[in-house]
Amino acid sequence: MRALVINRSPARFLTARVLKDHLTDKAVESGPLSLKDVDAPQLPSPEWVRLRPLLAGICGSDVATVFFSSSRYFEALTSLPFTPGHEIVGERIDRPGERFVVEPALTCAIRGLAPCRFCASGQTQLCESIAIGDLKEGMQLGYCASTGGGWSNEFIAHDRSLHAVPDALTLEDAVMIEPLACAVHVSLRPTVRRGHLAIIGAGTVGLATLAASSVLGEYDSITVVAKHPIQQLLAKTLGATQVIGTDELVGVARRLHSSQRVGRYLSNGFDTVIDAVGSGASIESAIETVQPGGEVVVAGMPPRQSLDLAPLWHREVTIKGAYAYGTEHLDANTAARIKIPTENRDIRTFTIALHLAEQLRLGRLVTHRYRLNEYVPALRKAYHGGREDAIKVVFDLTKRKSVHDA
Amino acid sequence: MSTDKRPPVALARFVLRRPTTPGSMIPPRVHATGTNYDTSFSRNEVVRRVRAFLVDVGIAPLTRSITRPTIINASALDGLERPIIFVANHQSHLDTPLILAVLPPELRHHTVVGAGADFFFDRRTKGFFSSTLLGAIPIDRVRPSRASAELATRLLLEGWNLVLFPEGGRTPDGLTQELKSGAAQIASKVQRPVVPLFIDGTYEIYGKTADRIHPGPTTVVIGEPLVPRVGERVADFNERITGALGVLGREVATDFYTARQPGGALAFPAPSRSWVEAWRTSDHRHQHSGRRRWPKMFGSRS
Amino acid sequence: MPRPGFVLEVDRATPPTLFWHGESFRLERLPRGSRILYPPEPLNPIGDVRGAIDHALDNPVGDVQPLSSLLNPNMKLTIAFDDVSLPLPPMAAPDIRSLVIEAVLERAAQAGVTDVVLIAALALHRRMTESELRHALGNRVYNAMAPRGQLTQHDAEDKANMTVVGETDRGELVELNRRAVESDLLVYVNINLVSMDGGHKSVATGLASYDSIKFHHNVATMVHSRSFMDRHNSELHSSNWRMGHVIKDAGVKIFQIETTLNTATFPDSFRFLSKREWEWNLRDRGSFIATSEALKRTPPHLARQIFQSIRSPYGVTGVCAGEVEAVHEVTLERVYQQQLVRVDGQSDILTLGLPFIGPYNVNSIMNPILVYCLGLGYLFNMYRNKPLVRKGGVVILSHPNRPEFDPAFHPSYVDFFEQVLTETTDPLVIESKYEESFARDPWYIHLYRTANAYHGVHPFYMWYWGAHALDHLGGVIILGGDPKATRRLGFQSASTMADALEMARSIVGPDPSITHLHSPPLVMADVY
Repeated sequence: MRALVINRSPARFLTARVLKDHLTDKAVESGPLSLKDVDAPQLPSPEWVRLRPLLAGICGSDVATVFFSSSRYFEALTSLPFTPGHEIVGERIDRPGERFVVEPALTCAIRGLAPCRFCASGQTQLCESIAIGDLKEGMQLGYCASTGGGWSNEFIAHDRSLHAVPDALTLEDAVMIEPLACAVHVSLRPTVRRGHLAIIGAGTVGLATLAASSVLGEYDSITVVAKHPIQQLLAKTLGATQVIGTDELVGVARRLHSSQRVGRYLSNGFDTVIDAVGSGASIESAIETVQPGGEVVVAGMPPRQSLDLAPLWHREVTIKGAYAYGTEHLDANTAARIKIPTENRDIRTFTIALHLAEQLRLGRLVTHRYRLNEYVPALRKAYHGGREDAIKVVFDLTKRKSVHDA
Repeated sequence: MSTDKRPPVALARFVLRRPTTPGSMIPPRVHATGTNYDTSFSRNEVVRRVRAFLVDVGIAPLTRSITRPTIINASALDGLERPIIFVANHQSHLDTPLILAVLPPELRHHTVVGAGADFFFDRRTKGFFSSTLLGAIPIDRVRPSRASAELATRLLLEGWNLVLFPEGGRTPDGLTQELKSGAAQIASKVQRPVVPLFIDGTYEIYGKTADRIHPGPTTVVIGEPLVPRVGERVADFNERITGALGVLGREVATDFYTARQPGGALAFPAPSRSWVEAWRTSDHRHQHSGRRRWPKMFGSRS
Repeated sequence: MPRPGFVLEVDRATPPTLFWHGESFRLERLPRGSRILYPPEPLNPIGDVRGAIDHALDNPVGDVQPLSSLLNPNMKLTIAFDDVSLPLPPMAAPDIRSLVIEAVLERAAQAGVTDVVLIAALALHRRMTESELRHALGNRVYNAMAPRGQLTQHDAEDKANMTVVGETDRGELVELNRRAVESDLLVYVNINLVSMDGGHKSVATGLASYDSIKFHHNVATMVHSRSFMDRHNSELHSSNWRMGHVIKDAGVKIFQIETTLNTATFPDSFRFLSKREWEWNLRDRGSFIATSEALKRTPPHLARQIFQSIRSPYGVTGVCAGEVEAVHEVTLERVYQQQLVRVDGQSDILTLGLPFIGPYNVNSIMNPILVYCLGLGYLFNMYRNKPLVRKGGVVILSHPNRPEFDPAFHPSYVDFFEQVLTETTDPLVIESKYEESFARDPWYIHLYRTANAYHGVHPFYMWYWGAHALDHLGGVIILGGDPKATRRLGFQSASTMADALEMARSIVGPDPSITHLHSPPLVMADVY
């Protein structure tokens, strides 16, 4: 079978990192990613099934991996060589025609282990078993050498991680369910979901978070910082109260409550700021524009960076991470508002995402589709994103007649 | 073999830097500032010559270009013999360099200036530059100080000219203030002549409230030497100096003859601090800035 | 003898026309048959200005005694003066205000008046900097008054030092500077650069609070001021006049001193600016080429600083003192004599070259909102009777219109541009939805009172200033304007005059009539 594989090659990693800004195409070509004929992965247990991807998204974290710009923290949490791709809608090879989205987290249950304390409580995103059990190291499918990933003709997934896609959803809507689940988790992270919200960044994470927050929260206003025209356009249609440029955030935050601004100090600001960029500058501006005592949720994957934390200390800002998805606790109001049937209000994030997908129709965020062998322009597009009018770039694998023709 | 495992860099650092004092030892000596600052180094012959050079080629020409002084009665300075006490009204920090610029080189190179100990000698670096560049000596202006008076007396006896501003500080509003008697006292003690100087215009250039220098014209009127009379009380001598400064001040605004008429306006010190007084003392000069000189300060807002 | 202004019809022999274009110029060939309104040449100035001031103070017009006889030692005397927004560009020293105030103070000193206070009549403008005050007042006045705290700047937000004088019969609140109202005599020293300035507006606006100013600085008033340069047809002025009567009835004694300038706007190095193009000699053409080529190669901020350092060699054409209304009639006559040109008929398209300076960006940046205000507020309104352009016509403004702001002087402008104009450009919506929150924003108030910032509400007034033009016009095109910033203002940008005219034709129809208001210097059209 054909698959895009990331190999262990320090020289290629470095080349990709050096060239990525000015010679993006060259960086992909000379980078660690290559299209190969590989053996299909072994099924670790009978509970695992083989799937054929139909659409597989390129996530920001995938791009960071390909260009070696992610934090070295993740190095040990993956197992090379692996096939990337964890935003997948696919069909079972043994039962073609049935569409599934994959919940890619490789948790205790998937790894054939007894649940750890986090899994037991439903917080699977915090699962302790990243390196043990049936599989090699990897937080998610798409970072693990044992499972394969979406950027291929075939991969394997645990039966329990499959969610059937309702017929009403298009393939594009379905491939956006995984990012939407992340966004739902981010949107439910703030302690209080009222008042004024700002979302910095309008890439896939930012826009999906905007869409999720507008239905899951009761905000007076949602301000979105969007850099590029297509982002601004989509942000408006997805429910932003106002869409502004990067350097306008402080002014808007100040005007919100007519607060005092002394140098970089702001006496009041947004109740909550969600950072969907993950750069030092965006986190700093989040810390500076949230109200004193407010919350900043970091949704974009941040690389290693230097931050001025003086305002965090002085304004007693809480900064929270928001990774992936697990089990959410929905209050009765919210549950009623989004009309989700729930008994004990503890509900899987993926279930909420599946429920909201029909309403939000995030398939419109899929702007570009590429074949697997067009991976160079695909990654280039994904890397440049809004600058080249792209939001979500996906690999289109529907055209391939048979997976076993190799 | 040494057991010290520290890398050579750390050792070198220890050798090159001054070692720190252990906490239980006596703290290092605190350097004297204020009236206790020792300015004797600045009167050493080498430093004196360096200062003379710096003043002649730097400070004096620069001051002249900023203040464009008109000197009235410059001939009064001819043939004066050291040591002299120069007494002037005080409008600006520019007064000291202006006086130095106005004095003939012979007098200028052997002159020390009484400067406020609390302002010019509050830190050692400031004291160093004040005394090196201007020949400043610390004078306590808050209360009569024996140390200041003795230092001034001793320097006069050694042959140094002394510049004093007996108003005790720059004028807050451009008007003259009452003279303190210190200058008269020192003069009586050493029996040396006092030459009164009236400086006009430096307040407008760089007064106490100004935020930057606004170059403009100035006038310096030099009075005839006043010698303390035998048996004259200090207060009376101070009164005479005040009177002489008053005449010089009127001469700036009017002319030689009118200034010496009895009962003229513009008394010294100013009888009131009202704007009317300031307005009258400034009517001899219409102070329009005129065309800006090159280089223009593009973008300057203040 | 200076020549009067006139209307030129463009023919084939007409040389290209000079347009201001911010900190640079454009030479544009207007289509044959277009009209160009050329201003009158500068009137001959008064030779002995100090003598004229003395004469005016000693021979006041209206029912007032000479200034000297109004002064006594125990009185409270307040002298208010126009702020940095006049004249434009700043006048070469000595500024006429300094000469007048010196003459007033001379008399006050002779009379022994000790309680004298000077107030810069800022209204809601920014506070003046020290060097601006020194320039306007002269060093002699500054040095005598400033250290004693007798030189103050009006603070419309200092409620403790404001006092309600009364209400007009239409319920307009008159709230003024307490010191000015409680003085035994208020002397107002003005510069009447254009016919909008002066009269009762000097005190009723210059020394008023926001709560008072908002009664005439609003959309309804501005739309009914046709134009606000024509005091007798201006609702803005009617309101101010009503307030003036309230002030007078409340017993506030005002001694108004108004001065008029000629239009000698530029120093010798820019002489070509004030000459008619066909009269440019070799030197003028040479200096035009040298200047415009040099400006093309100069970074904008540097060009701005060069232009902002220009001091105009204005000549004084008249000084008049006495009772407010009597003085202002004399003044208006003098302004009209200098600036008014008769024009027959309106046209479809009006073209305007916008200079680097307007009333609100002295020593600062002309941001897009000020570009709008200068074009559609000030220059559009330089008419009497009828606008130069017909209803539904098009105005073409020439200016780079870069989205640059001065963060110190115009903090609320930035927010207005980013947060209000992105939502709407309709003056009525802006007024009802946003004005209050900007006007009461404590941070803008803080910056207005303690730093050098325009009041939070000021950008709104800029927008209202153009409300009459927006209401009247069918379209606005900014020639050479930054496309994004221009769109934000709700206008279109064009890169060449041909494109601009083409775009205008799509609005006013083919074969339009075109009028160009040639500036500098200032000119006012009397349209029949």
